[in-house]
Amino acid sequence: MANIVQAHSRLKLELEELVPSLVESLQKVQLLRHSADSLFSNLSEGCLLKDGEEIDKDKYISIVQEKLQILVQNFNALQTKIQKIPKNRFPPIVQPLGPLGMMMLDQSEAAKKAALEYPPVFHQFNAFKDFHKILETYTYRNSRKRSTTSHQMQPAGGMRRKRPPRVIIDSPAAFKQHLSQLLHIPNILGDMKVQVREMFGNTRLLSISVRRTLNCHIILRHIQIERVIVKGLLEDENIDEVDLSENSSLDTMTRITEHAQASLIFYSFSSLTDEESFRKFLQWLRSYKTLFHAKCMRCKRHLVEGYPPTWRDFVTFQPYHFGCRSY
Amino acid sequence: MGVTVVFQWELVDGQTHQQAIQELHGRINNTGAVQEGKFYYESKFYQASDSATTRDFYTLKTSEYPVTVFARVDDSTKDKNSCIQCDSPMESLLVKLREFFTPKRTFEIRGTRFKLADFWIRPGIVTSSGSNKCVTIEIEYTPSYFADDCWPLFSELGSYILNRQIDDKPPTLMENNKQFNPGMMVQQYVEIFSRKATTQANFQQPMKQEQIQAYNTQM
Repeated sequence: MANIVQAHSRLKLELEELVPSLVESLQKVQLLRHSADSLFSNLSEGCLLKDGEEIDKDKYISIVQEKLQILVQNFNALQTKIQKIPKNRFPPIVQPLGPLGMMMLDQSEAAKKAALEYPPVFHQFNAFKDFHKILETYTYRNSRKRSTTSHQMQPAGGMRRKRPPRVIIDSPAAFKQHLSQLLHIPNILGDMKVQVREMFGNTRLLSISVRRTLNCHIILRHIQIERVIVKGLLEDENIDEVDLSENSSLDTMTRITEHAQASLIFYSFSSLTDEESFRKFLQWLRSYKTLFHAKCMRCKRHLVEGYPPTWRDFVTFQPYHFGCRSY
Repeated sequence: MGVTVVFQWELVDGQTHQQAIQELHGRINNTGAVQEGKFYYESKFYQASDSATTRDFYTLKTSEYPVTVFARVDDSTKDKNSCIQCDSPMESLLVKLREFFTPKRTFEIRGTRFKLADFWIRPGIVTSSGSNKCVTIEIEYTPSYFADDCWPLFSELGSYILNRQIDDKPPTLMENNKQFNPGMMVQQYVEIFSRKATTQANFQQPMKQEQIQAYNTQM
């Protein structure tokens, strides 16, 4: 409020300085108009007077010359007076923005300077916005992906690791070779037994028997796991008679099927390749060989509601009851 | 048929068989098991008329497998006892062979069966010639076929139901990674039928109070 009062008083002072010179200038304008008016009336009347008498030509010319000199003097006086009026006494016109207007009223010189520099910045900003619109039009036209724009969130660990391209194996012989390469890694299978059955197209059924515990039937498309069904040891023992449409009749195996599907999602959506996630899944599945005699790592018991520890941690492969698992 | 173990309930002083069954039902219900109908076992002992050339044997009919008759033939060594699975018409065949095999005794077991996840629990009273002989509890775990693997589960559940310590190892006939077969179940019943009532008196080892409390809180 104090700033506004000070600004008003300053404006009043400036106007008091300006008003006398403006009054003098207006008087000079009036004198100029009067001298010009008398000159043009003389010129329009010519040598004849109002009474109808004629005047001498030399005298008439001397009168006109005299009036012209008065006119020129008045014009010069007005010009000098106008030049003497102080210029830039008022601040330049700025855009009526609230903060900027307040900055103009600020006493500090830095704020005043910044306020004076704002108008050109607004112009630059508008120009930049127009340029950005044109750039977006170009990127859309060239099918640039959104991931290339600057507003994409980058992961905490730097650049996201991209999955390598998927390997597609069509022929059964090539698949068999590829699978044997995958399975013949030391300690990946242990005492698990594997059977493969060719199905339609590129789909295969992989039956894995975990040591005296369960049979896991995996439907593979190429090397990617599509579905997992876990059944009891003597349920669907023959791979050619496996019923893939029904779950196990055993409650424990049905639970493990659900856990296996959860692990499948966990490994598939990690940054691992198909082969690596397949191997991880096999390692996780292998941990079920202790299903019937391992204690839960949390409650240290074998049975909860009649179930053994059916959950295996996806990272440590340690046994837990479903209700005891760690998040 | 998964691993099946048959335990004998030891009656405390003054306890009748019916009271024992009621107590067992209460303990089984505490585990969270639910009743799933009735069960019925019938076993007959056939004695060979000429013991030099023929052997004695037991037959076992069960409501769990209504069209099957299990026949277990005695041998001098226990490991060589053989079990045969036959169709139900075998009994009519045995009637025709009654000159060679004489039916001596009949044992019956009746009771209510309970289901707890993949466990089947069948407590029942053994009767012979119209009189109650003993109380048995049969526990079957369907997913496993090797008693060595799943014995900790039997030990934990059986300890609570029977209120006594269970051996750390499975019965001898199931040891050494033998895959379970119905003959093992018949063998266990035959051992109980042929067991005298007094021989089990010293077998009972009451469960520790801390273990009971821990199990109760868990269940």
